[in-house]
Amino acid sequence: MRRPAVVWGVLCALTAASVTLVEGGWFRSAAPVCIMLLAAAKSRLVILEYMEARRAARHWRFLYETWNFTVTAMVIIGYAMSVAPVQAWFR
Amino acid sequence: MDSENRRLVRIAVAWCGPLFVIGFIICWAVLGHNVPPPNMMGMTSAQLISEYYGKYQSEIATGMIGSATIGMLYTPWSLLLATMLREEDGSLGVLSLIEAAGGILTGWLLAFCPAIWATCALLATSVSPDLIRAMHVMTWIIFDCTYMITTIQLLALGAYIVLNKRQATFPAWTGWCAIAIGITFVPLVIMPFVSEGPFAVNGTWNFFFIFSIWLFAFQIPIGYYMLKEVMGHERVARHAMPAAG
Amino acid sequence: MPMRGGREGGGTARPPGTDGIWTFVFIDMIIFLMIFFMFMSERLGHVELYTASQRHLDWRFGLANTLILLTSSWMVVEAIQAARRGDGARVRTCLGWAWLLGLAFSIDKVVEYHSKFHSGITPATNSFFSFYFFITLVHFMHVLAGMLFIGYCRGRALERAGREDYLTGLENVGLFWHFVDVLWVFIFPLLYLVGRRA
Repeated sequence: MRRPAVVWGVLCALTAASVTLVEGGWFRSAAPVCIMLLAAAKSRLVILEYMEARRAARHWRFLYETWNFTVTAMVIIGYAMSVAPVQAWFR
Repeated sequence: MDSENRRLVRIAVAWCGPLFVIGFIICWAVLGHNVPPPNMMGMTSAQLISEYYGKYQSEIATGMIGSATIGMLYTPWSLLLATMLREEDGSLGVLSLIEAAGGILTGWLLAFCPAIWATCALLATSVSPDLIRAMHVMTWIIFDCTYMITTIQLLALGAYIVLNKRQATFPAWTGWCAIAIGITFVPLVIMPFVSEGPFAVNGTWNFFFIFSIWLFAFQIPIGYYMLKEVMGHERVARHAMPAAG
Repeated sequence: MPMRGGREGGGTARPPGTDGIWTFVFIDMIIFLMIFFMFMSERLGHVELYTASQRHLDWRFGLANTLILLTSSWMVVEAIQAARRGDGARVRTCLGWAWLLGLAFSIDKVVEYHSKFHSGITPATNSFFSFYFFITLVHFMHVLAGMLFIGYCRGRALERAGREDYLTGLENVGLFWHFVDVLWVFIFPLLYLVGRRA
């Protein structure tokens, strides 16, 4: 099967996994972290496979991947800080 | 006008940019107690007087009158910028004229609105609080919601830089930044309708973010490259003088 | 006429697109990074409000839009690879599907907005919904712009698919469209999923 189609299949599967994590009600506190990690994986796939960042100038790949990491980390940290036990610990 | 005087005029006008930035920060932001501005949509008239105009009356009045003077420096700076956005045949094309128009209108706004806020401060204790609040709110809505005058300036500048690959004054990233900044002003349309959150008049987006990037990603870098351009011509002219003499 | 570049094209691999589009997309990424940062910091101050408001969003709209954009991105990749082979007809077909999927996204978005307005939810309802409308509307503007560019490229596919300048332009459009896709990859969980079950 052609590579873009395989990538698409993986992206759809990761998307389905994200929704299952929420709607399945699994690991209530951990689900958001897993969902964001899945989003980061999807984004990286699009950046590397569809945008072809591997073939772009190295600084672009570095900047785009850094952005991907930063957004993911920021949302995970922001979510973690909002969870009741963490907020209580800070108080 | 001979070339030496023309060069000096351009240098003087280019320095209007940094003068505007420093002067407006001192007068409007610091003396005007606008970091951030009072949350007018979430305040009563009495609160606006007691917590803002009445509390800092003389500072605000002084700062706003100063801003009304300093604000207009934005216009000559923008017009000098327009002269640097020439077509290949040396004429000022439509993008240059749009940039100029945006700069003229923005400069007027930066002077006009502070004059009204100065009026609010000076009359704060002698007219009805409701009237002061009405003038204050009206002026902020004019100040924020006519953002398109600056957006068209930024979009025209950005489009010129990005589309004119032969120009060497402004690097491409400044053009893309100008376009992006112009678009980030759009959420100002929400400002009159909310009294809290990021899109309120003192919100993280509608105040802190857009004013910051306008300053750091447009005013400062573009001002820097303008100064480099006019001062660079000075160095070239000085080196050429012995040969001409 | 076979083109240079890419795994499918053979020959010397030229980097995709131009420096300008990589720069523009990166600046746009920074803007959205700031938007996401502001959203998360506002959320920290109003967790219950944000969680309760989030439950008014129907995740099925978000899921549909995610799958639509992922498929549309795939079609654009196929179009670029076809352009590298000089196959104008396939470029046209794939860009046609990409455009139609963009239209599907737009219809889905309009229906979602309508359902919100019908329920009395507007950008002024609360801080969460201000962000919801702002983020999705700005993203929607990007989608519409992308559809414009895709339509332009599709219109010229048959006559220009074998040309280097056409390929570069198409790669630029593709980069922009994949960026639109990447944005939604984060917007969907951020607005619809994360914290929903808190």
